[in-house]
Amino acid sequence: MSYRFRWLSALLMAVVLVGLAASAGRPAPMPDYKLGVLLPYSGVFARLGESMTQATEMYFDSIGWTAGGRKITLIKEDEGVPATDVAVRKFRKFVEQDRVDMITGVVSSGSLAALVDPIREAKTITVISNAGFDGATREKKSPWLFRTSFSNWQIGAAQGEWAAKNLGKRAVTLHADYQVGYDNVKAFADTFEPAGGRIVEKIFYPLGTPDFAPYLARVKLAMQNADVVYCFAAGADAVRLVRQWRDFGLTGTPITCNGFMIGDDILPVVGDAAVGMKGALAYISTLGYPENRKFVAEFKQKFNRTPDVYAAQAYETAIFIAEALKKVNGDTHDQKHLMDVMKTITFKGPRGTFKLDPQTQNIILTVYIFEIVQEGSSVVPRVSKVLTNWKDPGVTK
Amino acid sequence: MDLSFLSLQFLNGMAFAMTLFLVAVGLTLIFGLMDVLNLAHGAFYLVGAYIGLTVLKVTGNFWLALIIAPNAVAALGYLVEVLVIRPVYARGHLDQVLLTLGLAYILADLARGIWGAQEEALATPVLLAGSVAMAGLRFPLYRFFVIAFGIAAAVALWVLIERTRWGAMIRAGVSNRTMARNLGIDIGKVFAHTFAFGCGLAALGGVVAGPIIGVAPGLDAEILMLALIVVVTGGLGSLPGSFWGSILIGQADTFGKTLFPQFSLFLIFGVMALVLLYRPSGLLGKPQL
Amino acid sequence: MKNAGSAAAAFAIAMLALLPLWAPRYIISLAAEVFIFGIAALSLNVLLGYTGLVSMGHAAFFATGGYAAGLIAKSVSTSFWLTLPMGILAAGVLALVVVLFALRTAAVTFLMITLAVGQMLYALAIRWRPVTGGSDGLIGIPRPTGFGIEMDGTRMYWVALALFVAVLWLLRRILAAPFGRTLVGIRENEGRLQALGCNVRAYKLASFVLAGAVAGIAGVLFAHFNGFVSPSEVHWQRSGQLLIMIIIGGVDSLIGPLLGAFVVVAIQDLVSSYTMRWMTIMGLLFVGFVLVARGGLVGLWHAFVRGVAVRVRPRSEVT
Repeated sequence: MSYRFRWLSALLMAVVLVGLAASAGRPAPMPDYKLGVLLPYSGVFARLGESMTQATEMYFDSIGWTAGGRKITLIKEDEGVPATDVAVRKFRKFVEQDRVDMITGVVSSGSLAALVDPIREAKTITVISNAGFDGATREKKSPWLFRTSFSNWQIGAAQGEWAAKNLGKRAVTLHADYQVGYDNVKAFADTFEPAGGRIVEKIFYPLGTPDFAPYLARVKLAMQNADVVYCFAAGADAVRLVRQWRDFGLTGTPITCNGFMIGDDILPVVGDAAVGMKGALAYISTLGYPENRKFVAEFKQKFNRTPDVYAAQAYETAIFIAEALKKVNGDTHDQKHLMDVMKTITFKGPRGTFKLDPQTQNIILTVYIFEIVQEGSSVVPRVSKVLTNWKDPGVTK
Repeated sequence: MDLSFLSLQFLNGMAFAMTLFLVAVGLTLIFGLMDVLNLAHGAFYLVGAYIGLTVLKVTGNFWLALIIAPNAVAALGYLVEVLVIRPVYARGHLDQVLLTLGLAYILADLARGIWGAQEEALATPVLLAGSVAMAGLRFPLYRFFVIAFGIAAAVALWVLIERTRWGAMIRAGVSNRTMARNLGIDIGKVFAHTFAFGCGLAALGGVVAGPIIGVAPGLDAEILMLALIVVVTGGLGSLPGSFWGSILIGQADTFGKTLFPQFSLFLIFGVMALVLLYRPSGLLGKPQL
Repeated sequence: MKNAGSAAAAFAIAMLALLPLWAPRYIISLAAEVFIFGIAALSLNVLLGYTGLVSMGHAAFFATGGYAAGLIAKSVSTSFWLTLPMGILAAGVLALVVVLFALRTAAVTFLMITLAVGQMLYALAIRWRPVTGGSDGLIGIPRPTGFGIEMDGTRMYWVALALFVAVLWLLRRILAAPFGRTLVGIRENEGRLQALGCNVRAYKLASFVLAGAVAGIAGVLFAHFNGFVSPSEVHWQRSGQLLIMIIIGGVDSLIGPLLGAFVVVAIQDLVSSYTMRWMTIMGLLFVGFVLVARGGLVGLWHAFVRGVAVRVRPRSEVT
């Protein structure tokens, strides 16, 4: 053994000793907080998954990926819409293999319907950031399930009462032939009818309808005895419906819709075809809150487009999770305590004041009524009415 | 529902039918000649529509998109034929199914990587953006264009196949490959050209249907299914078959949805099943063994 | 040779049965799903690999088994001794009805008729909401009970494995018998069998009902294992998925479909965890498969064994 080598090893020893001494004085560092993100990254909803992931990462970037002293790491999995079994399989992977601390995401209402029982069995806190399946916060609710986005009922119900008071008493409904469509129209009727309204005709179309012409002709016919059309459409269907609405000269026919049909994501594609349509949604990028202005500016700068409702939901969900970690100082051993804390979290976000209903663990929604208007050369949503304090009724008899 | 309402729906049915025809005709050509069921057809449609969208956004000229997109996709199809389809002609249909499905996956994912996941729509050309009054509704000019374009395309294709040298070579290839080869026809070349041509037609369908159907991830599978239904109802491999098949399906779908909306989801499959039960080889298909 | 084969099979089954003793939980769940889809693919291969009928509506029988089991488990009894036979019965009866129509046709038309029927049943699953739960499907399906115990995750794995082995054994017996050889005969030369006085129609019908009923078993397991059945289990893309499993695994064998199910379920799950570009990877895999491996994974294995054999054998024997 050479002289120099002995020196070197002595030095190394000293470094190790000093290191040990230093670490003995501090508590062991807390493990990373693993967050499983379940969003569609392929198929028809891929864009929603992309938008929500961008917003989530943008927020965690802004807090240096730490909250309450815990470093946050994301594990992303593809929800695999429309095949529901993929979502369930990936959920199992989060729980059984990755052993994540919390799960967030889920875009499709159908995926959520299949996941409510696995969530209860896995006893893993899951924060739903889009899927609207009503049962998740009603008869199928569980202490581990939180929802920061909306229930299908909330938006339709807020809009129904408003429509009866402002747009007329006789409505024709046009919606996609799947559960979310039915839930929306039922929610609309739930408050439209008690306010004196009547639904004179219900028209529905299959998901993925390439040509709306036959339905538009029916709508026109039915409108001879009605005042307003209430409509639910999303994604590619929304783009086709709004454009064909104009193509068949229906512009000017009073129409109000669930705002997903004419949200910030759809608007740039349909352009002036949407002018005059009125929507209801929990977020639209032109809201005047300072938190929203900041969010929109940051998002635009980073991703070169206007954030949509999905991005806003995911962004607030990220804030919600970070706030919960802060409140418990990163100590998540007592899950019951963590969940109690989560019920009480409130903050100001892009959508306004964020607050959960402790009964259902579902967000108390502020619904914005907006109209698409032409402003110079651009087409923008203008908020005309704010409907506050819409709670999901929870378990009803 | 009076007569003018029904005639409006007839026009709607025709417009939808001609969209279906443009989407489906490439599939039937490729199957008719090459005996290859090309499950990547919907993906070629998707890529074509996206290329059309880009051309339209850059130049603002729909007619340029209508020329560039089909040619670009035909070139892509040519490449695909030479690289991966050619080695499997001798294999069974099942291998071709897996191969073309794999291609569909790759192309759809590639399109998503290039054009993103946002739903898009091709802007209607300014010249055709208006509409005419009919039956209390308005009928879009662009749909008149689609009807006219579909009929013109059908006639042009018929002339091409029945009256030109290239068409004669194709027909020779369909009826007897060995004989055609012995007559000195370069079958390999004819196949490659036909495949490219079929893919180009899918892209043409994508651009023409673009202002109505739009373009979005997942559309490839929907389009493939519609095209398969039309082609099989009309008779696999038959050009007039897919023309009349698309009219039957387009009209049945439009009138069915108008009159019995609760059966919308069943309609086109029901029509296809009925046709096939009474004419197993489709409306104008050659009887199978 | 035969004994060696049985011994190897017994060893493989024993190893798989012991999997839960050492494998992580998620691997066991995934393996259970591979066996469930393996049964479904196996049933479809009775048609594709033996009778030579290509069905594009097979998911309908899979889903019918699932819906039947789900409805019974939710409202009558969770006993596996009730849900399993009823699932098989429902799927089998539906298969009988479908095939009575579909058998008027052959080849591509048969494929499209089965596709059409499958899609109409898909529409029914969405539209008949009071019974099927609409587009969300039947949710909250309880785990099955048998011998007085509830079958949780690991037990479901054993049930799936046991049923897979049972189905494999049964189909081997049936298909090795004259019945199976007649089916192959129909595939190879239908006209000749007809001329020999064989009732081809009856054989086709029987094979279709057998395939449908076995698919029902897989559906029952799927419903209990996942706790739900939804219209996407009826959709043509599910039928297509089953077809892909068989083509990848190899049409000419009974074990091929299981390998195919492994690729489509497990490999796809693995790849999609590592990259959002999983569709490209799977697509390349499919294309590469067709270009390189004739006869699927099983064919690849045979080619490999042959290749080794050719190399080790003396030259004279080869030529």
